[in-house]
Amino acid sequence: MPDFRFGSRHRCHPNRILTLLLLALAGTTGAARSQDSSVDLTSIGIEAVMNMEVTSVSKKPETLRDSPAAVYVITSEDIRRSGATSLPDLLRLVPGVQVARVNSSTWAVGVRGFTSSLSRSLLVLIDGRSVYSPLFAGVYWDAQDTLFNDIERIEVIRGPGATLWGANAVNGVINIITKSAQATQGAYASLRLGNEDRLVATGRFGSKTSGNVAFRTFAKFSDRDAQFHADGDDYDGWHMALAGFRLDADPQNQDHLSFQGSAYSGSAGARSTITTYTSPYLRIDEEDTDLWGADLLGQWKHRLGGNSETTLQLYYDRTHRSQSAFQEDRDTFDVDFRHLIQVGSRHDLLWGAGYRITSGDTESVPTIQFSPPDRTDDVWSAFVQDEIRLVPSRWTLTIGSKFEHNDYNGFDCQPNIRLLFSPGPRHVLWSAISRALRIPSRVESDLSITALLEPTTPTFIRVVGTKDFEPERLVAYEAGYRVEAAKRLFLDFAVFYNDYDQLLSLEPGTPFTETSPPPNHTVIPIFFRNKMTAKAGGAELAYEWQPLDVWRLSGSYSYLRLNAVSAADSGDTTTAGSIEGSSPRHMAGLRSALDLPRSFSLDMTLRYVGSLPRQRVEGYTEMDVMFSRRLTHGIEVSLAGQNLLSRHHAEFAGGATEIERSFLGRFVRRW
Amino acid sequence: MSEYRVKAAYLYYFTTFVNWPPEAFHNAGDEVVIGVLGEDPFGAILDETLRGKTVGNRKLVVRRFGNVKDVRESNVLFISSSERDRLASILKVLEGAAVLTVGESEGFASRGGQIAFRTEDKKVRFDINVDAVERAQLKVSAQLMKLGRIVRESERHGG
Repeated sequence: MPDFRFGSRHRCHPNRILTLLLLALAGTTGAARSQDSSVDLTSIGIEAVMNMEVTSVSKKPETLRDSPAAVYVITSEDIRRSGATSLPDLLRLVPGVQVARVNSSTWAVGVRGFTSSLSRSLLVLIDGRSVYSPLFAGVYWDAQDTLFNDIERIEVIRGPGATLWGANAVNGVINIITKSAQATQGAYASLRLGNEDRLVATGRFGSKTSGNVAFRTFAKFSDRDAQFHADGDDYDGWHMALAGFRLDADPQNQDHLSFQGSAYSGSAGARSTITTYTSPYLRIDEEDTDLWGADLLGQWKHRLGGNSETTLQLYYDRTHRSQSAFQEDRDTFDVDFRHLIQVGSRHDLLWGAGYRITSGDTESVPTIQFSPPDRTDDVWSAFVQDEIRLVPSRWTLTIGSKFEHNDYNGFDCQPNIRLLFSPGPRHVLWSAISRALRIPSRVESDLSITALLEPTTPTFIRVVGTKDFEPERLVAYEAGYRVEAAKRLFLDFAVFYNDYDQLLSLEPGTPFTETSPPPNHTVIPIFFRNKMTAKAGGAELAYEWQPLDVWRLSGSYSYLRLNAVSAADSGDTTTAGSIEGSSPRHMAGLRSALDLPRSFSLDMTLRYVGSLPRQRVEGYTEMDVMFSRRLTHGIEVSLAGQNLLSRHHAEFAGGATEIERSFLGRFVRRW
Repeated sequence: MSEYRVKAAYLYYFTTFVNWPPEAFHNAGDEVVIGVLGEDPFGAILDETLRGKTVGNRKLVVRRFGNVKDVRESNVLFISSSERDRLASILKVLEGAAVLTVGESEGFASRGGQIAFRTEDKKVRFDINVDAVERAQLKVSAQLMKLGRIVRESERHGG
């Protein structure tokens, strides 16, 4: 049956509500809500349950199968069997997603192109809390972490998710969803030791009160070595400490409350070139970036009878980031409300409203200026989406739109329409048309950054933000086909055509002489404008095959064509090439998960990423291997090797840092 | 319908069809503990399904076990497929305990488990190993026997 529903399942918007609730909701909201959770299976009798068809006999979450969108789910089992030690590294095998490690603490992540170290058109949420930076449009991956063992799943949506999640969910949405406290009872500790991940230690303790209250607390410490530098200058070591808690309570049957928070502190080695207005005009700074932050999130889900449910979520998030050239302190408060209601037998109506206020204070060197240095912005939003079962079990139409008001551009809407067709229980076809926006960040609006061009005159280039910078716009056309081709073979195929408009371009202005600060110097201004368009087309195939009970093979292949064009009146000659040359045309991955006798397991991953001419990175193939054994019930030991095929290789910004081969041992104990 | 939503509902119904010996509960108001051992395939579905449910006057509660030593504290124990290599040693720990064991790995019932889920034509059905149920001093209602497929101990191997 058309269980799906992009909407409900991911009803989370900037704040995904789901998390634990999701599951609850899962039924109620999305997928088979009509059958799933609006029907209380414990009240219909065991015979009725015996005759109920189950949609997915495999362990694959339903989201994947019945969504009218290109969704890929990384399960907790995938995470357990992966040797990855960072969140972006977990995303490497998702079709259509390019993950390139720039140095020890920096990653460039792109979905369907537009890869950059800030991943500017990608929205990332951790339990409904947006970690997208409104300062620099993107995600600082060095500040994002959690206990991998507590992650329930990671949902990656390729393509726009703006109707539910709002602005900046342009090329994709990544939802990291942690387990409820009920599911993390007891004690857990893991220790990784290696040559690159020198020490990653995690601990968690979960317990329950006699009432319906469960909680967990956790802590994680990591110490990572620098990556490879041809000049031997190993500046990019990275250290982080993280601690947090989560509490889930069911005071009444129709209510679920959760409350969670975390705090982190760390430093990431960085090397920056800083321009000064006095001779010699340049200096190289090697100063660690200091990072700390804290967040608190509460969520209340209330069920109003079998067909209706409300969710209220609030969070507060504080981040501090201090680099050698600038620092920022940011406070964000967000409130989000959703109401899901079944209207008649055919309509699942989901609507919601939200408000976010975010305030950032900056300090910076004279050649980098935010004007004003401190700024507070708010966003009002509302959305409505209807999932209509046109022909139950066959045709489902989802239609909806986001309406948003932000301080940069005013009011805008981001609609989508999606159609799902199930010709039979093993086949799903879907297609969608959607519109999404990336709203300006403070960089495009308020930044002025000056860089040395030529020291003898001296001459500088100054890139200047413009207050009337427009949102970047996307209209995406997508289609997909999923099939359970045989009992143990599952295929997921998606194609897309993305039409971008008003993309950022760099427009040169008229050079002028500046007398202050002295000495007199020439400035060539360059303005952020919207004079670029681009078209992207591509296809992605994901497959999963289980030839034996103990052996699972999965993998993907992705193809991308990107064509960016400057407008006729644009003077930008570099950005188009940079967009085109920073994402690979071909990517492929293969993973094998094999259970061996005597509780041994062997996991192998092979991946290919095509060349990135603009990043001076050649295509490469790399391999990860992990060999594990469960010694007794609560103890597991593993040995893993990553990037085994070469001593070091470049993944992004070639010539600077290369990623090294690494080995690690892991010891896990549960009580 | 999701597979584990259905299986969670089954776990609820099993508690209504099974009679535990009086010594399985210390006090009149003791809860019925549904345990999960190993990798939990239910996520929050099990908690959602059983939230607020009672059998007789006893509340149903879910507990996840990390240590096999504690599993005797449950009344129903779902043994995840992740534990299939260790099934024999887990069942040994449970010997003499009035615990209804439920599993879904291949041959679970014939290897000494009591109730094994299997999927038949997209529907979830179950096998009952009557001898294992009797060894655990549990009384299963005739209706449940009729709905499940009876598995004989003679097929047992390696248990």
